[in-house]
Amino acid sequence: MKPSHILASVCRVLFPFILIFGFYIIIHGHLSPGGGFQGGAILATAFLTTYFINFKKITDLNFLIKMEKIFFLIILLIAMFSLITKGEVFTSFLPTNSELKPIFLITLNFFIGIKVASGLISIIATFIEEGRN
Amino acid sequence: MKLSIILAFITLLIGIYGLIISKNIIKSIICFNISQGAVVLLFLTFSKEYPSSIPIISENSSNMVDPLPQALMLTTIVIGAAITALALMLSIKIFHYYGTLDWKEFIERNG
Amino acid sequence: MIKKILSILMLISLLIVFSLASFEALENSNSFSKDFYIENTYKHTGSKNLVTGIYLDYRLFDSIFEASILLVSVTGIIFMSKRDDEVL
Repeated sequence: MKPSHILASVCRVLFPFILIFGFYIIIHGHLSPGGGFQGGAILATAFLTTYFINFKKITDLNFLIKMEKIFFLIILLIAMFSLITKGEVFTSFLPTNSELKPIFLITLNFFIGIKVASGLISIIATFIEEGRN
Repeated sequence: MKLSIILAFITLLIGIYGLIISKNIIKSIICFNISQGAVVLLFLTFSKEYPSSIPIISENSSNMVDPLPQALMLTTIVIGAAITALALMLSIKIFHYYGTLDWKEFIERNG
Repeated sequence: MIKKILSILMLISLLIVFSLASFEALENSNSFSKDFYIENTYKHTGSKNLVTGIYLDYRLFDSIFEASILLVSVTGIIFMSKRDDEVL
């Protein structure tokens, strides 16, 4: 399968803009519609367009799944950190009524976004490699 | 509002009817996704009163919708995507092993 | 032919029962949780988007296990694609 030159050129132009839009959706998750899962899906579509540019590209699945596991552990550690400051698990570790509470939301949204993006990229890459042979 | 609830139920039953009569595995997966979308639609119409605004706090926001079903449906959509990917990969494996995607042939060959 | 008519009858009866049950549920509902979330989410979590406030603070347990479901399904897909002969 050989994609057309017009499609490849348009995807080369669009790729950084889709990346910026995905990170915008992730980081503004507490102010506007969006969040970690939706922004992660947009980041995964950005990496999907690279298959239109170069179809013979091979994604390293072991690295992706390892990254996903590590980010899942980081999310668990951030969520468990409130055991030290507040004495209860799975809530915000910052004290109530402080001005810095969005920091917790931004960090958790960011890590969830990267994790979901790596998971969806590995699903897409697995299906493409399955169809190749 | 009552009409939209009945329409959501009709969509759910279309998905269930497709699950009953479809002979192809891919069609079964598509009908499963249709009924899942109907459940999402049902939950979102349950919590809506007309007129209402999105659940984001700003200066001119009044009469917001209930934010809890929307958070629950976010979970449902991600889990549905995971289940669909797993089912598609299983159907690829079944086709490689048995050479067919038909439920009846598959069951007959299996036992 | 009889099977098809029976299944369509079953679906119509399911539609009637579902609709009656949902109308009954709509009339007897209250708005305690809605009022609580709209009033207190910004104070408790600092999030202007109430949905983010719910799934990252009140119901963080749910979101973490949702992420773990995605991890497990990705692991299963990669396992099934690599071991061709041993799965089925």
